[in-house]
Amino acid sequence: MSELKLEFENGNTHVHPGETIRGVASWKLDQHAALIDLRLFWYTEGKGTQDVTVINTITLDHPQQEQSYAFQFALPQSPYSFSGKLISLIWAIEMVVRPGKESARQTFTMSATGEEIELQTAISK
Amino acid sequence: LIFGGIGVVVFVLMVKEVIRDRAMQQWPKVACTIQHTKIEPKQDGYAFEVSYRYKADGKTHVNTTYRTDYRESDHYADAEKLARRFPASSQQQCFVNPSNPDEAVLEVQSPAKMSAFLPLPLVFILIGGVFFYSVWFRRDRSSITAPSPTGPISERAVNSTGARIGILVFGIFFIVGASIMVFWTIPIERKMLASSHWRATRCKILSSRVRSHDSDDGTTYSVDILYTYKVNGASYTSDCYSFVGGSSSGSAGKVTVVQQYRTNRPATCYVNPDNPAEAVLKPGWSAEGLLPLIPAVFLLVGAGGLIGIYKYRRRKRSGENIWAIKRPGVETSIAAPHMMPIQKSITLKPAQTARVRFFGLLIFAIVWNGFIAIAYFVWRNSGSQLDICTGLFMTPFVAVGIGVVIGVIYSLLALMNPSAEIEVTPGQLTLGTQASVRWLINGRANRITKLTIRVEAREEATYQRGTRTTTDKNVFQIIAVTETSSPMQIARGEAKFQIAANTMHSFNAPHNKIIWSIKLAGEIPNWPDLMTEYALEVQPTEARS
Repeated sequence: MSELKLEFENGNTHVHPGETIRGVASWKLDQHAALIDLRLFWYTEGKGTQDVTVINTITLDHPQQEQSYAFQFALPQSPYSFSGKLISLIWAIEMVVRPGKESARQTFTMSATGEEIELQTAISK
Repeated sequence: LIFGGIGVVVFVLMVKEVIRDRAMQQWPKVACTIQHTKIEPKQDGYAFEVSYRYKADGKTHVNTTYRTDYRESDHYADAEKLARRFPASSQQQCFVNPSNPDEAVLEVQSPAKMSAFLPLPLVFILIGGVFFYSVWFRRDRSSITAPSPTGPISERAVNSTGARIGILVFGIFFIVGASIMVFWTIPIERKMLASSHWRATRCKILSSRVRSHDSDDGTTYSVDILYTYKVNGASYTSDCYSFVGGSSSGSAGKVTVVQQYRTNRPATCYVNPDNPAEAVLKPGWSAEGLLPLIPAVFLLVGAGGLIGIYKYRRRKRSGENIWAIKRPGVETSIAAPHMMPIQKSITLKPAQTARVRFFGLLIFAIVWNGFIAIAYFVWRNSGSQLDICTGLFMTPFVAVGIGVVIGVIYSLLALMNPSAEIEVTPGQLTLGTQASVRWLINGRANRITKLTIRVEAREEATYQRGTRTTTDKNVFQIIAVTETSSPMQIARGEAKFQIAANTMHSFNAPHNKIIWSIKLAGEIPNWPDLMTEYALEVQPTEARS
């Protein structure tokens, strides 16, 4: 089993739209890999069928068996991280070793406040 | 499972046929003599019957098989072609089974013909397989609350299995539709159009009848008129009444046609000047020429699906913000909201107009009740008595039909309601902004006794439950904009509302959505109320500097 690790700069998992998220991906592979993908993406969880959209991918060809890589991704303006009664939207960065499906994932929240938006029922005038 | 199972069985049978045809092609050719041939009228056409003699293993054998898959020809001309190809007393070559010399054929069917139809059962297998997979293996997806701990989630977006299945299914639809169009529809349509210029020729009716075809679905009927004519001294026989053959229910129309062409009476047929063996009694293009165009539906569905998948993937590749709400004429982008041109105000359009609702219901009512009416007339014409079982079976269908008619009447009355115009300022709404809404009731606003306007935000999650697609909704934000009974304020007014900063903007993914809208409700006594929803696009908060 390979060791895969994703760490954000300063351990910051609360970010704002339009910012750049930085971190380090490190790995110690059992076997030689053809490439490693680092993907910035969001996905939904909850009652609805899962939606997944990859925003950006960094592909590292012929990675060494043990290596670290400092990555950075520019974040888009939306969608925000949120959690409701039916749907949650989660932002993440994922490292995928290919061939094979070994992977590591690190989630973070993105919104105007940096916190996940909770959709609580509200009636206002 | 049954759907896919039928496909597998048919596919296996077809493969066995192809293998058998290939084996028959290896049978040795032996000289044979045609003893006699004849054309026999059958229930569904005309059969070419042949008897031939050949020698194998030092013995003389007699066989009557022209081709193993041949039963009869649909048209007399086709059977006649065979009779001319294998005239009595002629020397031919037949294929003899080396392991059983009693078995022989005059012609071996090409395995390529059957191979061409192999994709058809594959469509059944594919559809059955996709349903089976989605019902059994993806069932848990509908209720997951946490991602699977194994496997990368992003892989689902990168390796889009759905898109690949879509390409396969729509590709098969396209190929099947295009093949039928090329090999069946276009030749028929061309012949129909060309036959209007064919030469009018005197012919004699040999036989004239309405042919009946019994099947599990009931009896269907077709026109069967056999006639003979001469061109340049040569005699020809044809049974082509029109180019669109086949049979259908109802015999009255066919009887009328047959009565026009009585046996042994002269008639006018139209002969192809380039091929005198080809003739027709009803030349030119007519409304029945629309029937062969039906496979175009397959072609269009296939082409539309493939174009849709191509556009979706292109949009995805170009990094377009596909989860943003699409508005006609407004390009979405990942640019910050404040970088986009801000409209001063925007006039909203109803999410669904009363007219669309009315015509949608009307079409549904016509189709639904039309089917019930056809079923009723078919049952009545069959002379069956109404029993309790039939009555109980039909009751829910009739009840839905009555309900839909009531719905049509209700929506027709709603169509006469006054309509509302809604204008929102600013035109580009973002989280945390204060906005104003102006309304104007067109028509008889005084019929409305109470007007309520509110802004609403809801989650919408779509998922599969078995074979059904279900959408659950949850309203999480209601902002009361106005509630008035004053006739002046009902007719025209303006009110402000505030969108909270700490809530969610509009979001539109294929299965999960956040929908913002303005809902306007007008109470009208003793009449359908005015209920209109206007889609609202709420952008994220302006980006931090």
